[in-house]
Amino acid sequence: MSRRRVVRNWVVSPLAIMLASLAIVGSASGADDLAGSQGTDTSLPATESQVTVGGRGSFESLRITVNQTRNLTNQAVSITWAGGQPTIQGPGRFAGNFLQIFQCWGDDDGSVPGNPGPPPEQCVQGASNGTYNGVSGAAFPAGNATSRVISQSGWANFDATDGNFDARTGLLWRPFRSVGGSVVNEQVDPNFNPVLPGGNYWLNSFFNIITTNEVPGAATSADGTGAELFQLETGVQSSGLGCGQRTQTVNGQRQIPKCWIVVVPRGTPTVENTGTPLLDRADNFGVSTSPLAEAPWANRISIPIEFNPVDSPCRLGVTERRIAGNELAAPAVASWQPALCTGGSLPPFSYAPTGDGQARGFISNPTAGSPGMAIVQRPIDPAAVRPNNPVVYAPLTVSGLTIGFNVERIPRSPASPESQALEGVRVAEINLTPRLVAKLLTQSYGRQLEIFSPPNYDWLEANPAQLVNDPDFVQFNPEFAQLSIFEGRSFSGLQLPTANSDAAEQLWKWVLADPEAAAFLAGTPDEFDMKVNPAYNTTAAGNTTGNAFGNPAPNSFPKADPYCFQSEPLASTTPPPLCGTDWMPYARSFDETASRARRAFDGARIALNVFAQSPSTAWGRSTPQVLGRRAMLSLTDTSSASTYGLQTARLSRSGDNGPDRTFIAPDSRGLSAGLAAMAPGKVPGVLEPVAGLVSRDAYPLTTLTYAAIAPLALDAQARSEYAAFLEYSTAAGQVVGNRLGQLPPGYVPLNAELVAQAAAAAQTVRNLQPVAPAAPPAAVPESAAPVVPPVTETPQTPAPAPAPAPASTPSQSSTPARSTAGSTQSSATATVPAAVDAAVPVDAEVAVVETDDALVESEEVVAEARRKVTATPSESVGPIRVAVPVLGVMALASALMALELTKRPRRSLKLDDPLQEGP
Amino acid sequence: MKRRASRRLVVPFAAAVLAALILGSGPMASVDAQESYQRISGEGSSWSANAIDAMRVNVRQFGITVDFNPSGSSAGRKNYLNGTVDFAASDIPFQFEPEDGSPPESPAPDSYVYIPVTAGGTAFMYNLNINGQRVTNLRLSGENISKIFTGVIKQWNDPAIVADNPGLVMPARAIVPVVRSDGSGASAQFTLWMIARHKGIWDAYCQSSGRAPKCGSTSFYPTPPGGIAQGGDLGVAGYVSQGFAEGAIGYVNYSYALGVQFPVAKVLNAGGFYTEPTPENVAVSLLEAKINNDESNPATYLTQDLSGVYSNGDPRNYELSSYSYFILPTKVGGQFTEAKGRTLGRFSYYAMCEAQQQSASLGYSPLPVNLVSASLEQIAKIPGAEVENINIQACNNPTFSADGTNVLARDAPRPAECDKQGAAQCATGTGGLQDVQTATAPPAAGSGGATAPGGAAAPGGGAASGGGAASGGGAATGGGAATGGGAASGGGAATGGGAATGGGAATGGGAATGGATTGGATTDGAATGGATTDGTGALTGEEACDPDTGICGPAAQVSGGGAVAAVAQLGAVIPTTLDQNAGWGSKQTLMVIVILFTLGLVFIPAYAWRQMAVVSGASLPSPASQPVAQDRVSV
Repeated sequence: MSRRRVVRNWVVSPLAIMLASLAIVGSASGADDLAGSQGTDTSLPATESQVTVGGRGSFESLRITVNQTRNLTNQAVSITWAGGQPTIQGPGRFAGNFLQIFQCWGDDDGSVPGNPGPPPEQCVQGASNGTYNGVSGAAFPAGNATSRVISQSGWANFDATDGNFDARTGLLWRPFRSVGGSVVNEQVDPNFNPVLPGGNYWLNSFFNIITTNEVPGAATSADGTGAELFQLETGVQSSGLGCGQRTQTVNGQRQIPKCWIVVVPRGTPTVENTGTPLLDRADNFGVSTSPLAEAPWANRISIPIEFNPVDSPCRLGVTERRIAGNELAAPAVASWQPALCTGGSLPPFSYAPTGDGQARGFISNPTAGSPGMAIVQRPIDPAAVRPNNPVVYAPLTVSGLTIGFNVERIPRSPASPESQALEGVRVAEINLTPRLVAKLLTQSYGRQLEIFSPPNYDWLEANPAQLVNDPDFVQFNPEFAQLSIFEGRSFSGLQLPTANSDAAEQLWKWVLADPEAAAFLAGTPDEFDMKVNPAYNTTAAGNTTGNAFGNPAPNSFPKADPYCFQSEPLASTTPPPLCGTDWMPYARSFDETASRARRAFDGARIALNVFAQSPSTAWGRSTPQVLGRRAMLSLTDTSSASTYGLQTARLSRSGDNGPDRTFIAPDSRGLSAGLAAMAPGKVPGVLEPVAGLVSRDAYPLTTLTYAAIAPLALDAQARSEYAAFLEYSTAAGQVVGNRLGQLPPGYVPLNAELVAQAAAAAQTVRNLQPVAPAAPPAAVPESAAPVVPPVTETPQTPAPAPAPAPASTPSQSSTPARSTAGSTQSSATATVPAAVDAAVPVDAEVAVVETDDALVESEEVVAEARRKVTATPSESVGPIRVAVPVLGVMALASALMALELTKRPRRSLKLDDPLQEGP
Repeated sequence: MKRRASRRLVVPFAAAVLAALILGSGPMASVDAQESYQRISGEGSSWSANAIDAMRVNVRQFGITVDFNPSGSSAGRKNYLNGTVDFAASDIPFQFEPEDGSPPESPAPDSYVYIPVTAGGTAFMYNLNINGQRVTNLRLSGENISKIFTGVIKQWNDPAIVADNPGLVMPARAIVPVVRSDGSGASAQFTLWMIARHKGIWDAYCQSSGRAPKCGSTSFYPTPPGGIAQGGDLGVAGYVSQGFAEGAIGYVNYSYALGVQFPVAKVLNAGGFYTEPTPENVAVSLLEAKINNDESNPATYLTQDLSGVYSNGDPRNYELSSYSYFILPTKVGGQFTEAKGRTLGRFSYYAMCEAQQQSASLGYSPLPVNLVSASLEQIAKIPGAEVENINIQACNNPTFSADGTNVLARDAPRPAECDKQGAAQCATGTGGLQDVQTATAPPAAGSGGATAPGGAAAPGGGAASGGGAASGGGAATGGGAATGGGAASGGGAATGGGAATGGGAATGGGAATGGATTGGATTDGAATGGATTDGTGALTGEEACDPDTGICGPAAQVSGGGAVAAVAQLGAVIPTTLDQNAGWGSKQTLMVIVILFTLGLVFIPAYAWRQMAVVSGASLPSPASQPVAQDRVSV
């Protein structure tokens, strides 16, 4: 079978929807679709359920395409169109000729026979401006165009029977009717006064400015086309719509409602504002009537959409089995959780994202309340693993770190007609090298430090203000020579999470391994004379702190420059200084960084309130970036990028510094190759990324997570339930798709070898037998240990007090996995008798004491032996007394290592494979 | 090798298809319709946000969507009152009569209830190096913390801090106190504690900050001179963890220090021990929290009075332990409906019960049974809450026990002897760096040097040697006692040499470190105590050696006894005892050798075996041999 054939299979298969957001056409075909541009196609790839619907009347030429209309969940879909009139740029940017997009529920109301659709009452619309005093920034259409107020008393088009008339205000509202039957007549309380106690401004319990998914305005470019991403919501997110849930009562039966995407095309103000007093002042206001008013609604274009069922089978109030660790696995775990509840034989699994280091501690050094399974990228340091409590690793998820972006084009004047035509259209492709990423991470661009007024740094003088001004960036992204960026603050650095993670360390290693980036970080200016911020200099001599940065590679993203900006005093108070962490605030997670880029809003408290009465109110939150002028870069993971429909940058490899570099997209091909390029690390059976020129296809920041579990520290039920988790998540849970229980888009499935390794690991978790305490240490000569039954069958005999361990068991006595391994291995292990808790004094009594609580449920004898050991005063451990138990522990450990290896025969085969694959 | 390559692509694909077939139309196909929940939103406390975030992430699997914006307790209460969120999270109750002059909050009576949602400690996360090594075992008395956050103590080598840390050579570095810039319940709790324990220090600071006479507790902490303000716990932790922020110390929930892997200061408690807010210690501490049990007044019911916690003499007590609360609506209105109340009831019940299981692993402390029980009654008052589903029998909370005691508090370990106020100082790390020890200079023996073995006697030994040293300057420390540091009664009891009590912490400790200089040091120590009480910074900053640069200049010209104190510290640089509990001895060396040897034996046979397998072309190829990696790099 040829590779091409395979690739085609891949594409037509359901797996093709994976990495939907990453569908950079060029990355699949290997060629740019638009020479000289960064790509204009930010739409998601077509699916079998793609639908195109035409407009009517004055919008007859409009053709609207939705890339996916079935098997949907809470996800982004792509809405693209052609044949529209170019958006009129007015004082309000969207003065006319734009689209408004909503999600609605309900049966066809019969109003347009040629294009069935729901009534306007059943659409989520009118919250994008929904706070007291309003919120600015994102919602650009003016006035009632972002509201459900369809008319007012006294207007020419007023008809009180058309909606809900609020006599207090004279406003005529289009009510919202939820799928459950509740009706919200007016969305806001006109009498609300925040100074008075009680009362609420916003009255709609079903959606608000935070939860609405409406697109208040989408622009059409000069060629009549446009593209927008639309975030669909299921009933879980939007209970007023109830999509995917049995929420609609029909004849006493509960059924899943019909759901729709509705596009309301808006024309020129002179047409759209007919019947209102705003008509005369259309030039000032632009279109300012509600899309739900009768006239605009008559033009609505409906597209039916079908959701997968999302009702969760998990029941609250059941004791959960807990897991914690790496955030990169969190979206997958969230999808698996409900599937694991199905059938009711397993408890719900909880997942708490924590730093990898903390997660490793849960396994290597458990305390009361620690979860029994951790998800990590790097394994636990073997030195921290007690030989009598081995750690099993099961490969779990493959995804990647990515730099997601949301950049809309602003042509630099004078702009060519081609460039003008693309105004406001999102950029589809960005290429980044390790050195460019290093620049973004090290506060080396001016706009990362020019907090209103720049610091007085000599090194900063020759540095570009932001990415778009950096010839190093433009040489790999030529279209940016034609573009300008509205907010350089968010285009000169990345949105970053605060916590420590293995993923961060992997990223730094990729940067530090690149000669070009390494030279830059060490203080050598690049060929364009840009210098690294000396707070990040990797030489002690060049670093302002006197300490070299980056050795060892950091596992977080410091904002190391100490500059703070002090504002002038205000009338009543002096604002506190603003520092780097205010200017570019940290996010809590990769999910949040992605969401920030999608909304182009990082919530930085950098807006000066000149009327502030106290320092703590002097700096308010900035507003979301202006529609059509957004530019934000986020470090996130491929699954979160997919969820939020972010474009993702292509990266070059460490060491690929020549003139003809390969930029690799974080798509399924790049991630799969990235996985294949990983190499074994210091713990057998755990792959780690290799920073370097491994393969031209390998995405350099591919990440692989492992579940780590120490079965012997757990009771049988816990082991069985964790094993079941692994068995599901590494088999059926590796099918990419949007259904609950599947692997969410943005991941690639484990390859067959890793699946086999995971299956073997699950077996081990279920079946691994503890090695019994050994015979008195003096009686453990190599290869002559007495065979005794496994611990579970050992009568609980008290061990002789100071000399700890009573028995030993050769390691092949237990798991089936081991017995399949064949004679080679059994001969290897047989010569190494397993032994002994005896040497536990070596790892210090404190550690043992700490684990006692966690081990209460484990095998009694083991616990008993430990207590005995603990009772041994450490002072008594003289050289001779240590030596004997040490021999025991060495034997045991060696046996366990061998056992570890033999459990993964099939996984090893995989490593054989890439060896065969020549260039 | 295209063929092979293609097979490698096909295999997972085939496996995936097979899996899909086996599963039919997917795992969810046979699921019956279950109840669905209306999405709810909350806002508030960043102190408890790590716990709340874990809760809301986990209830997704039950079909419950909860949005939470950790914008600070003040913003949470404000937006709850504005009706833009369905519930608030706040570390303190509504402020009907704010003590700091901010506008009063006026919720409608009977429209809300409080439930504690998690317990934890306000930790003092710091960023400090000595000779390039990160300090992980810093200890601070409450008085010193108060002085740091009010700008009285400005240098890390202030004698008062030196006295807290006899095992450390404190660097001559400026302290940068990092406080909250936004309205914060953590600031309110911190100032409440300070007012209860060190009122004079707070009052003096408040007067000078121009707030007087509104000098009660405040959510809006005035930034101390030389300090910096940051938004949210995330901002404070983010700032303190930066490389340039060396010398910084900020107050955050303990969980944030775990998240960024930074240490927290152990704080001296009334029992004479330095403790950190581990989940166990917090559980112990809050046994003394007085919960308002007047059910007739919903404006205060279940709120906390922490004065008992502040002065709790249990050696495990952490004084800045507290509860954080949900504020839940009891009336529908605005965007809050019964349908949302149903979701909120379920979510709150989950928060009280199952969610408490993961508190400890996140750095919080699970709630005790009495509070959970009372809270469940409160949850039942939410309109739309399904009362039948709120019962304590099904509530899976890790602190519950058959006899009603708080298991976590009952089983909490006593602090180590080296955490006792006095001459010894534990080397063990804290917070997010539990595993990182800090080399401590063991307390030197007294001038006679005769009592060296005292240190070796492990528990209590340190104290004993301190006693020895102190005996020299016993009289002098008496003077220290006059400063009122005398509160450190524990130290006194421990050493038996009443000497160590006085300047207590401060000066007595100083004496102990300065092994060589005896009476002189302690005498100066006494002077130090007096000086710092007056708030004069005269003694700070004069070091004979800068421990960061290692440059030792001529002994600084110092006013008062500071120079002598510094000399005393220099004595401490040189470890004089090896065979010490917290030190490094032949036994430790032996252990390391043994461990290395063991590791060798762990890996070498396994490695050798793999090599054999590779060489022989056996059916079990190596998973980890080096040549594999190299070959692939060359591809």
